[in-house]
Amino acid sequence: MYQALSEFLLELSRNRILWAVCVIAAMAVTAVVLYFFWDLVGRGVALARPRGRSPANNRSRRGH
Amino acid sequence: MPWPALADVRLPITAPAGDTSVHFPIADATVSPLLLALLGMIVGTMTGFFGVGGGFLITGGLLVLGVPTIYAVGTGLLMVMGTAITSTLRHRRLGNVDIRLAVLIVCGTIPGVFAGERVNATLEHAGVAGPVVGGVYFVLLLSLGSLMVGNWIRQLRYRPGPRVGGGLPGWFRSVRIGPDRIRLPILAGARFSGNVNLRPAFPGAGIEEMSALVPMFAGFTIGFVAALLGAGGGFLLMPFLVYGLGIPPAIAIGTDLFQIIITGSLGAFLYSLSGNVDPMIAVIMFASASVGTQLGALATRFVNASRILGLFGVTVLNAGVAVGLGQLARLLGSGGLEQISQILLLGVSGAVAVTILILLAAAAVTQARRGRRLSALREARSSRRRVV
Repeated sequence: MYQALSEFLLELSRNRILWAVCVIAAMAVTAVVLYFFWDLVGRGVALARPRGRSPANNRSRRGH
Repeated sequence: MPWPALADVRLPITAPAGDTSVHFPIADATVSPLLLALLGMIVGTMTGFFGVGGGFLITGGLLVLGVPTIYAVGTGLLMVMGTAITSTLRHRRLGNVDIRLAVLIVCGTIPGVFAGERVNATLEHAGVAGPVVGGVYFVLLLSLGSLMVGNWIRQLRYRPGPRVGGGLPGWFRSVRIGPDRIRLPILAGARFSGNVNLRPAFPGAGIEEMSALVPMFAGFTIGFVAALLGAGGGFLLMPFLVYGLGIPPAIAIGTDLFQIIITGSLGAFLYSLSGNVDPMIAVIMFASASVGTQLGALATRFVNASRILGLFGVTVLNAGVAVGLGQLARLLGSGGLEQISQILLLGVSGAVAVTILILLAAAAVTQARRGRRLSALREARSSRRRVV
């Protein structure tokens, strides 16, 4: 698979303008995807963490 | 050939290929992906924390790992662009980006980059690009690093830092260039009067009023110098925003990163056109850098601003010393000295990245302890109430 990917990239790099556009676009898309991925991971961690007793929690408990 | 700065400053040093090494056909280099990931992690942490693209670190690191010089510079610029995008998104969410200021800086940066690239090509044609660029790099890094470390030491002694009301920030904010307002009849319509305010406010950066030409001129100068040196320009813009305009460091970092996206993309595009970028190396490094970027950006929320500037000053000063040693090695033709300069560049930067992570971990532990103490207090109070 790595060999096939390398050959594909070498083939693509022959067309300079297409190559430059693809390289920039690939990096920009990877950057945005990775940002949202880590954002989701962060939210998941925050949700999974046991909740402390915040003043809001205490108020709701007193209400019951 | 555009952006040859670091190519002339350093010589490629081939790292010993271990069992994990992989051949990258575009750059024609055999490098361990684990080492690439480690380098990416260091650079990512620095980028998220300091708001610099880390071009000088990435290129230096790739050279140490044995990537050919021209590919190290091109791939470095692509990485700078990627890390800047992720960090800007992160800082934007934290409210650390003043978009108006960033857009005005970028308006100056784009022509500055092209002008710098032309001057670089002329110097290259005359055969003096290497010594000129190396010398400018050395002087800039050393003076900026000394300024920042000096200011940090002053702050540690409880002396006031840069004053926002006076000094350089006061001058830049009050300077008047041309008219304060112009009328563009071509834009005048039902929804827009055609009046353009040339002294707008920058609320995100805490500036009540400043000439729009100040950030544009600054952007042009930084774009010019960045293109001349083959870097993203973050190491110049960040100190200018903090010391020149008196902007809080966290906002300066976020705004600076927005500008790095533009310089990084332009540089990477020019290098890609010449076929001097290896996207596989960039993607491996970038994947690990994204983790570091998140941690670095998070650390700015917990770590004291003066510490940020102090650590950044140490990194820049160290880079200046490393570039100076590299120049000396070139003059003397000493391979050993060249290797020392590369190791110094990466070793100190790695140590600074580890320090940032330790500071973040310490802040997280302190916060967790405080939370536990608070919940224990509440528990004790509620049990007392029950007894009563």
